Amino acid sequence: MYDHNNGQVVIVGGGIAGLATAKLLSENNFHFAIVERSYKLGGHTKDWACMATDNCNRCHSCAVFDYEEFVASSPHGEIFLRHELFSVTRSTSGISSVGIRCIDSGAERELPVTALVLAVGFEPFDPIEKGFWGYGTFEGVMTLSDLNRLMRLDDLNTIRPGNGDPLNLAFFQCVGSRDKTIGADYCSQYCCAAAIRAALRTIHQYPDSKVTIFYIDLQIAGKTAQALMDKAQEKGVRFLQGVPGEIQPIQDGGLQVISEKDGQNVVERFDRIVLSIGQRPSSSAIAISGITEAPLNEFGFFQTRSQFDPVRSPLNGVYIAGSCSGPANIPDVAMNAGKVVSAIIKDIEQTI
Amino acid sequence: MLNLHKNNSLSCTVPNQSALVVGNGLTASMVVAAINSVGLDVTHARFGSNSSTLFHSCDNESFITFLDQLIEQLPTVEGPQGGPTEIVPCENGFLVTFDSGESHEFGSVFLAIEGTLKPAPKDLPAEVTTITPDRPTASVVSSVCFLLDYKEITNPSIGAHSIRVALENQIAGGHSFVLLRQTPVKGLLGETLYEAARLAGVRFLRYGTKLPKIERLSTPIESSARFKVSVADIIESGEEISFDCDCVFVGANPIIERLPDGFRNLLSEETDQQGFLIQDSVHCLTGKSFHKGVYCVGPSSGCVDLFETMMTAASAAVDAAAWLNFANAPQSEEKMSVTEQCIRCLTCIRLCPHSAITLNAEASRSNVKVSTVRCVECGICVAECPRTALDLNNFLEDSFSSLIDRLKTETSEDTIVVFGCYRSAGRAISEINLPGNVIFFPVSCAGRLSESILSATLATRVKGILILGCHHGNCRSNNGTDWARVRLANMSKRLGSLFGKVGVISYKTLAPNESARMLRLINNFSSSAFGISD
Repeated sequence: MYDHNNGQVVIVGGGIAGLATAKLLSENNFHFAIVERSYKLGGHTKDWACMATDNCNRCHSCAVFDYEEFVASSPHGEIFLRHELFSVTRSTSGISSVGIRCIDSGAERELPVTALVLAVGFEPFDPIEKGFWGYGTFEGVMTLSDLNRLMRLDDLNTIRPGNGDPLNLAFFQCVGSRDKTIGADYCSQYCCAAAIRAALRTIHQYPDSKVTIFYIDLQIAGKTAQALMDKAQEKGVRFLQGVPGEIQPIQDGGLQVISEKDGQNVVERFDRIVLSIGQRPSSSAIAISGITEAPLNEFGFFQTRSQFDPVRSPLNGVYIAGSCSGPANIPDVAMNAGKVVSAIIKDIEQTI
Repeated sequence: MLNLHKNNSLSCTVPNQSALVVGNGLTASMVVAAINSVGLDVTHARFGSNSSTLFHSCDNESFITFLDQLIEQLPTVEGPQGGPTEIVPCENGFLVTFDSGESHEFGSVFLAIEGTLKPAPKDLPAEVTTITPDRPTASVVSSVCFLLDYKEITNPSIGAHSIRVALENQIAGGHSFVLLRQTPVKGLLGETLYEAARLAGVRFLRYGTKLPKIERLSTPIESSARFKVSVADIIESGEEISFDCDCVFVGANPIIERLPDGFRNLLSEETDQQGFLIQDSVHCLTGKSFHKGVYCVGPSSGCVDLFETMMTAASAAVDAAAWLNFANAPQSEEKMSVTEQCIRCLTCIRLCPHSAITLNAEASRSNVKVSTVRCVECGICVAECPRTALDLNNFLEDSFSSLIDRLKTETSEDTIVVFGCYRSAGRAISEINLPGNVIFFPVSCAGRLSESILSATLATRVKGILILGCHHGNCRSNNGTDWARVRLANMSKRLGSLFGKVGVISYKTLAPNESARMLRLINNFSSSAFGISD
């Protein structure tokens, strides 16, 4: 077995990827230091809502609480909130130390490093980039994260029509994903299942709600895929292939879109339209790539060595965890963290 | 165990630092390599098929390089042949009995067997075969049709694999058709692969509710075509398109394989909706069971993706190393106590979701032994023990007695007691302010709330009791929250008409990120307890 002094791993990013990695490192006798820009741990996941309909629907958003509690109370780690990476010192085998700086005070400190893990996460696509969905202009257009925020605050009632009519909700899939024009020619992995869960959650709370999901291709892999689809169909979620290109506000405060039915264009009205926004590379990816020299790939995510070596950066001593190497959902991130720690253990053993 | 050591490189003498891998194919090899690379001792028991059902979408050259590297990393660790017939938790891990009758102790056990795919749907011609990782091979230059999403959505890994083979066949000079309802573009490079296949001339046809028709051509004349395929493409005109091709392969999803008896019995409470092992619960990420030290990787858990299986193997190995590290560390405190009231009914052993309670090998009054490392203090056993012989040392029965005493004397008639699971309600409460008449009492798990605690609480002057457990399927102890629900139903049945007069009691479920909803649930319950309808 390993000794308690396996060295210190510095993790850049305190979202679910950083936390999951820190937990496994700590459990395997490593010291860890998490460097997080914001005021809190947990990243995007911390703001997401539970999607249970009395039964857990496997959104896994609660996992972050378990990770955070473990990490925050671990005697093997340090957490630097409001800090950022500003320098690295190289050694022959990789990286020997990093410089971090407090964003508020500017105070700097040096941390010795056995391995450096980049877990800077993703940036949610901002639909304002593509004006024609009217996000930010039309009141009824919101993103999947906006909807999550409402659910988290238990404010779903605020989007129901005031006159007591049932809520008529639509989801647009692949917003900012599979889109060459914005350099995002990839599937964002999480959004199909997330939209279906949000649809089920809405119907669970307000059973008279009508929900339509406009999709290109449904990408729901894994154990729950079929069960989730069956449930959605049972609850009357309507799936329509093809995402309308435009949203128009109408006088009654609703939104109208042109969709296709049997080769004919039909106009449909919705109270609200939820844009299932994709994952873009983190806003700090370029800066961190510049500091560390860990290369980015064609999409702007951190490059890894190969499909078979998906957690090591081509740069020795640097590991890529979670969605900063490509879009991922929570279970993927949890699994990826295990692979990161496994690679670190293996590499250290080989250098000893 | 000694024999085993003589024949291979195992040097481990403490069973608690060892891992057993059961399986015979690529999955098992990846798990063995993963365990080896985190420094645990590994024993490999060969069981089941050695032909892999793992699909991948990378080129053959990379795959072969991967296989070569994998073989290089594999230690020689042959163990007993055959599958475990019995896996019994014991203090130092698991006592595993094999087909041959021999028994060994292991700190952790991994199920890593290969899988099976469903047979091709019966309404297709008999010559249509299922897509497997090595059939069709890309080297066969012909006109090949891949039929995906036929009657159910094809697993995206099988879909992506098909697109890769279709592309390779097209590049080699063949013709490839892919019939589908959902293009599998999952993964960062999924879209790139799909795009490359389209550019190379692979014909993608998207059908709707009308299924494609596949006919066997009975009298092939000049051409070698053997099938006629007719499909209505909903993207193009919607009109039916027909073409001939040499062979048709259909995507068939995995089904659950014959499991070794030992695993089937141990994990009988832990299957997902489709019967695959280990739930997709948030507590079972990375292939771990609720039984500490037990892992399932690959097809037996429903996964037929090579990369995902590789990731799970690595994660499960790291988790096992962490678990054994923890289990081997000196433990300062006993989490549970067993009194002389124990009549050896073994209910607790049967119910523990974590394999934390084992039979005491040494003769003693109680006969059961509680593992400090495995016990997560859910208290399901404490609540169900017919002799109240068990207690959690950190969450004593006495604490409930004190609460009840307090309720008898101090409370006013509008008091509402909320019992909340520490993991969900106990966290959510930090973000809300409770109404003044509400007493919140955190419990280690809703499964700890015995009927006697609930009855005694009801018998005080409280207006109502609200139990907040975790959502079904989200309980850290698998079914603790369900125990609370069932006990409530039992009580209502038993108390019959009395129920409701003595007080109001309700059970709801919650997650840690549902603070706002928690407050609404409490307020709604409060209103109904006072006869105000919401």
